[in-house]
Amino acid sequence: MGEKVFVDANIFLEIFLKDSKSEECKDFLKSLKDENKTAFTTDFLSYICILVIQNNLKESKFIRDAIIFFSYYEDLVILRPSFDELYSAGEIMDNDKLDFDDSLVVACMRKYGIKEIASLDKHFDKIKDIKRII
Amino acid sequence: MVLKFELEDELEHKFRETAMKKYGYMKGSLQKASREALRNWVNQQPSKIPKVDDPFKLVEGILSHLKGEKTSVQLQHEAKKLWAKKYL
Repeated sequence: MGEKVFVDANIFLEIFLKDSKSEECKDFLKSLKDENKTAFTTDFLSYICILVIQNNLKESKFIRDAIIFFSYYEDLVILRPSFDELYSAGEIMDNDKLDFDDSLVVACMRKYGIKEIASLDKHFDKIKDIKRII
Repeated sequence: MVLKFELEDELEHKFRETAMKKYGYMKGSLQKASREALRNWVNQQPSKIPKVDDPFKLVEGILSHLKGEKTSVQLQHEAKKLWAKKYL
């Protein structure tokens, strides 16, 4: 396993939207394997993407397509946070003034020694030991 | 059946420590923990999901009708609120 990078839900959603940074996000995800990087996300963030689809599209086919998409990467590790990480997230909420789910991302990153995050959410910029790369 | 493989030192150390904490400092603890870990891993692997050549084609632009109305970050925050409303 080479370098580790955490991928936030908005990177996937940007591709779903085909918005201005969609190509950059797609190229980034496609380049991970070549660069021997392993991508990490959480089960919660994948559910969030699926909820967005459910909210905005009628057909369940799109949910199944998203699941195929998430299962495609051999190098995408879906983390299932333990109570340790949930507890740490509660502490990070106070220390870093983040909401619970962003705190949970930070807690998981620290637990697994992940220093870089791909996210369009600038909230993570205030976390000193984490570098936002998109 | 015996499986042999190498682990990184850090992972091996954590695995041994966690297995002993959970199953006790006795013979068989590592075997129990290994079985549990392998069973969980096997169960988590997709078995009925069809393979496709380019999965990006399945999802790229599926929400493009929202482009300009909402950003990906806004959609993410909306979904979190919805999830919280529904499940908390």
